Parts: sequence; C-alpha cells; structure tokens
Amino acid sequence: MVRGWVAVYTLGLPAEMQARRRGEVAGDLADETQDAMRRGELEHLRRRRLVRWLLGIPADVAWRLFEAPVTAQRIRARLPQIGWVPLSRVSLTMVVIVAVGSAGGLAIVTVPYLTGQATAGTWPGWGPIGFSMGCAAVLVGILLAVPWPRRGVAVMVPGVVIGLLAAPWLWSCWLLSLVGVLIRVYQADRDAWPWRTPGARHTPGSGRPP
Amino acid sequence: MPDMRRKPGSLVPLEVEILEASVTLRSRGLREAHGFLLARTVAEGTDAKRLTAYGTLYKALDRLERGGLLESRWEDPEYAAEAARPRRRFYRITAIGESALADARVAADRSAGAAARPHPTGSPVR
Repeated sequence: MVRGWVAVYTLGLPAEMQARRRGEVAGDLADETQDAMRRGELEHLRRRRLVRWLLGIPADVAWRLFEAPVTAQRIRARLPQIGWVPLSRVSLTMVVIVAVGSAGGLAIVTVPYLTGQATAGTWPGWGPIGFSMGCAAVLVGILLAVPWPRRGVAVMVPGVVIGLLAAPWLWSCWLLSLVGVLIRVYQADRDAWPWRTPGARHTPGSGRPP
Repeated sequence: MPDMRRKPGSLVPLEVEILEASVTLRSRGLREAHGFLLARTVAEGTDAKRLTAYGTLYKALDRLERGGLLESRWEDPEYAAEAARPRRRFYRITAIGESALADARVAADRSAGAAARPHPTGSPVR
C-alpha cells in the first residue's frame, strides 16, 4: 500500500527522482520490518505502518505539488531530451485496433445523423452525442499516444468515461481502448512502473532499452 | 547547490531533530545513517511514541539536502543484495548543517531564556 502510494505520487517526475523516493521508502519499509522483528513487535507493524503512511500523506502531496516540480525542472533541463520511442508490434497492433474501432464507431453514429438518415429514438437521451464524444476522444487519445503516450492517456481517460456513461454495454470496447493506450505508455516509459527495480533503471540519454 | 527557500537558520522542529539525530549517531560512531534509523533516533530523542511519518520524514530530508545541510548517497547495491534487502540511502550532516544546528540551538536557548525571564512591566512575554 505504501509502495503503491509512492508510485502514484511520484508519477510524472523524472526517473531519477522516482527511483530515489521509491528506493528510500522501500529501504525504510524493510528496515522497519527488521526493527519490528528485533523488538518482537511484528503484530503491531501493520497498524503502525498504516499510521505512518496516513500521517505522511499531506507532506507527500505538498512535496509533490510545491517542491518536487522545482527539482524536476532542473533535472529535465540538464538531461538530453529523449527521442520518440518506436512502436512495438504489440503497441502498434493495439493502436491500429483502437483507432479503427473508434473511428468506425464515430462514423457509424455520426454519419447517419449528419446526413439526416438516423431515426429518432434509436438512442435514448444523450447517448449518440456521448458515444460520439467518447469515440472522438479515444481516437484522438490513441493517435496522440503514438508520439506522446502520457498526453494520450490524459485525453483517453475522460473519453472512456464519457463513452462508458453513454454506452455502458460497450464496456469491453472502452476497456480495450484504455488497455491500448496503457500498453503504449508502458512501452515508452517502462522504467517508470513501480515493479521495476530502481537500481536497474534506464537513465535517459543513454539510449532506450531494446 | 543549496536552493532552500528558507534561510538555513530557520529550521522547522523536525529538521532540527533530524540534524540532532545525525550528530547523536555520529557520536555513536555512525558517520551516516539511513532514513529509518534517523526516524528511530528522532523518536528516541523526543520520547515520541511513534516514528515520523514516511512523507514527513523524506520531505524533510529532501529539503535539508537541497539546503546543503545534509548530503546523501546510495548504499553499495552488492552489500544490500548480500543482506537481502533494498538499498538504503545514507545521510550525513554537513558543515553547513552543523552550523545551522548550532544556530538553532542558540535561538532555542534564547527563546527559552526569554520565556523564563519576567517581563519588565510584569506582563507575560508573548
């Protein structure tokens, strides 16, 4: 839980900062466990850890909002810019499936309305508008994810939410879209994920891992 | 390069306690200490029932390091691997840190003295 929280609030920071904070807390947790074992207080460890975690959340949020961006900006300024990460076979397949699916959905719903062929009552309420907005956002998001994966997610997530509200029975399609964009993020920024070992981290500027 | 916004002398109590803990540990032969050990030493020094929260501790350590009051390094990964645990980050107080701690102690003594001294008019010191 603590590691998950650290992974969340360090998202978007340079890899160096993420690795450091995650490593520090991972080391602390291990030392805390050893200390509790040594003192014979293992049964209280979970509760103490929960309290330490909860009480530190305001400081974590303050650090992330006001202090970390300053350091991050300085780190980014001294690092060479990372180039475009080519699509892998899996991410290319997902991008194509999601792009074709969302463009198709958009066309199927909007074209009849635009040409006046759609019959009233086909969709209840704001369904067609929400569905079209969802499809459009998913299409833009997945295309945006090719050069800028994180921006793709930022556009995709609201699109999926709107789509789910408008057409919940198509949940598997919306979920697939989300999976598609996350695969692209993972591929492009694989070292930023919490389960990666901080010590084995790829450092920007030394070339992307194969 | 230190870039702490506050002046080095204006430390919050936790930062003073961390610096005190660093000095205490050094007097015990530990030139540098990891985060958990610092938290434990702070708790012992202040008779606190619980350890400093993760977020509060590492935010304070980060600020102290950015201010040049502490310096840090990662533990040798081979050593950590042998011990079968994650690497530790070791912190060590710097000369600036010691100077800031001395200033903080003087300021604390002054304020304690002022609080104990009766006000010339007889009204309590605010």
